[in-house]
Amino acid sequence: MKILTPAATPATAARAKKSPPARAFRSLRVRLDEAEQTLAAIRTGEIDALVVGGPAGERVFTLEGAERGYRVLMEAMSEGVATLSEQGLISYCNARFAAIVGVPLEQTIGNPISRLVTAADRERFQALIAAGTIGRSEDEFWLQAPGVGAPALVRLAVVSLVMDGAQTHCLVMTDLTEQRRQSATIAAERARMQTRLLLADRMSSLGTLAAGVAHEINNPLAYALTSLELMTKRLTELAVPSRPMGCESTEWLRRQLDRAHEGAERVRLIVRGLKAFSRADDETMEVIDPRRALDTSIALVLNEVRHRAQLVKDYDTLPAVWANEARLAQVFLNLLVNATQAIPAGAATHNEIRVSGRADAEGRAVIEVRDTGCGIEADHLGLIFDPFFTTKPQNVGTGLGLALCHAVIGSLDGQITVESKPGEGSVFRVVLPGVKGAAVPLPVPPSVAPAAVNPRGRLLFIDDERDTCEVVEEALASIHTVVATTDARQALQLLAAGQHFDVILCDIRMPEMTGVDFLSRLEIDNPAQASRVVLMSGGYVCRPEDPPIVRSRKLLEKPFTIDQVSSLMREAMQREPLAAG
Amino acid sequence: MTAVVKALRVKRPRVDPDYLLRLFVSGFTARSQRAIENLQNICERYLAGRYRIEVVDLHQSPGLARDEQIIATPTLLKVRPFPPQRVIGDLSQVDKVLHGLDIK
Repeated sequence: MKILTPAATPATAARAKKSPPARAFRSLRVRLDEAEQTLAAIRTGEIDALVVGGPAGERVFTLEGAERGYRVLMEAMSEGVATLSEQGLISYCNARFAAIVGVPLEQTIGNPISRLVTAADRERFQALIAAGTIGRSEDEFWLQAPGVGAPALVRLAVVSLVMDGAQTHCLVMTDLTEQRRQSATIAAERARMQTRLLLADRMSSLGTLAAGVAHEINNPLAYALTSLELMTKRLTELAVPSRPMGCESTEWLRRQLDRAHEGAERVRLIVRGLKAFSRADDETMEVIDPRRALDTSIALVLNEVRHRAQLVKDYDTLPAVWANEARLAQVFLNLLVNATQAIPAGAATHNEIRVSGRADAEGRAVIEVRDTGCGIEADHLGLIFDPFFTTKPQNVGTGLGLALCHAVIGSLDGQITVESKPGEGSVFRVVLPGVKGAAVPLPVPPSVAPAAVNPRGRLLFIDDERDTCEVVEEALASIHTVVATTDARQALQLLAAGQHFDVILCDIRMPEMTGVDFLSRLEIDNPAQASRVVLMSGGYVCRPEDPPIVRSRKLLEKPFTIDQVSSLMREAMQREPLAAG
Repeated sequence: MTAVVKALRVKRPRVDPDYLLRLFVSGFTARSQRAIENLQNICERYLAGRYRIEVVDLHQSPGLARDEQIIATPTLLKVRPFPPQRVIGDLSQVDKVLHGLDIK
C-alpha cells in the first residue's frame, strides 16, 4: 500500500499560494510520489490490472483472478455463448450452447459452426458474421446438427473483436424453441377457449330456437290435447251400463285414447322444459313448487336415463321455495344430465339415479340427486363448480353446467354441495330456503262436479287458430254459452254492442290485433269487462314495454285443459256473477 | 456496457457530499471486491453522511482510465475536496487510506 500524497497541510497550501516556485515544486513532488507509488504497487503485486493506452484506445490487462469468475458466469448463463475463429471454427462455447444445438460439448468445440447452419441459411449467416465486425448484429436461425432430431430456433447476436491480431467472433445464442413452444401452448389454450365460447354461444342460440319451436308446437298441441280430452269424455258418456254391446270396443278405444293422451302430455312437458331452458322465459321470481321443476327436468332426461339406470323419485314432501321455476328446472336438469352421463349405458338394472326431496329441521328444501356412476376424482371435487372445468369429451360438456347451477342456487340464497367416491357414485345436494306459510299454486285440480249443477255461464274465446276455437266451443257448448272468434276486433264489436261475458279468454299473439292491444283498448272502453280478460300464451315473454295491466295479469299457459277453462268460468261466476240481462 | 459509472450511494445527502470518491476496478477480482468493502467500511466510520462512492469498472468504461490517468487497478481517486489524491491497492491499511484522503 502506497500513499500518493503531497504534504497537503493548510500551512503548506498557504505557503504554496504565496510562492510560485514552491507551488511548482510541490506539484512535481506529488507527481513523483504518485509515479513511485504506482511503480512500487506494480512491483509488489498490489494491483490486479494494468491500463495500457494504444492507438485503438485504452485496454485493460487483467493480471489475475478475473477470468475464473467470468467463466463461471458464462457457464451459468441460460444463453449459449461461443467464440469463432476467423475460419469459423468454434474455439470456445459454454455447455448451454452445446445443449441448445443438442450436441455433446466435446463434439462442438473445434468444429466448424457451418455444420449447424443449413445450406439455405449459409449466406444469411455469413452476412451476420460480417456485420458483427462493424457492430453488434442479430438474426434468427434454425440450427440443426447432423444426426440431431429436432432443429433449434435461436436468435444469434454477433460481436467481433481482434484478439492477438486475429479476428474473433463472439456469439450469444438465445433459444427461441422454448418460447415458441410456450406461445404455441398459449395459442392452443386460446383456441380451446374460443371453441368453448362458440359452443356456449351455440347453446344460447339453441335456447332461442327452442323457445320458438316451443311456441309453435304449443298451439297445435293445445287443440290436440283438448280433442283427446273431449273424446275421452264422450266415450264415458257412451259407455253406460245400459248399452253393454258397445262396451268392449269402448274399452279398446279408451285405451288408445289414454295412450295418445299420455303421449301428448309428455310432449307438453318436454315443450315446457324446452321453454324453461331458453333464456326467453321470463325471470320473475315467485313462490313455486320445486316438485314441478323436478318433474319437468325428469321428463326431459327420462329417455336417456332409461338405458343406463332406474330412476327413483322420492320428493313428495318438499316445501315451497322462492325461485324462478325455469332456472330451478335448469339446475335439476344439469344435475340429472351429469348423473346420467356418469353411468355407462347397458347396466340399467344395476344402476340407480335417485331424486329425493325433503324439508329439513329448519324448513329448508333439501333436494338430492344421487347416482351410482363413476364418481368424481378427489382432485376434481374442488374444481367442478368452476366455469369451463369439464372432464367430459369435447362437444359433450361445455364446462358451464355446474357453474350455472352454482350461480343460480347462490342467487337464491341456497347452497349446492357434492359428495363423491370414485367408482361408487356422487350425490349433489341443493338446499334452498323454504317459504313458510305460502300456498303453493298447484296445477288446477280436475273438476269432478257434474255439468248439470253448473249454472250456464258466458265465455268469449279469442284465438287466431280456428281449430282451437272450434275445440273449445265444442267442449264447453253443453255447459256454457261460448262465443268464439279468430279476430279480436270482432270481439270488441260484440262487446261494444252490449254483449257481456263471465270470462274473456284472449290469445296474446295474433296477426291482426294482438291480445295486448285488445286488452288495452277494452280497458278504456269497458273496464268492467276488461277485468274479466284472461290472456293465453304459448310461450309469451312479458316485455318491459307492455302496459302494466298486461304484466300484472295472470296468464293461462298453452296448452291448457278444458278443466282449467271450466275452473276459470266457475271462479268468475262465483266471484262476480253477471248482472241479469 | 451502457453503465459508465456504477454509483454505490450508501447514504445520499440532499446536498452534494463533502467527499466524492471514485474507485477504479477491473472486473470482479478478489482484490477489487476487497477494495470496495474496505472503502465502504472506512467511509462509514470516518465520513458517515458526508461521502459518495462511485465504482468504475474499467472493462466497461476503459475511456475513463485515460481521463483520470489511471495506470493500474484498484485505484482510489479522491475527486473532492481539492486537491485530487490517489491510493493504489486494496485499501486494507486504514491509516494509510485516511492519510491519503486527508482525513485525520
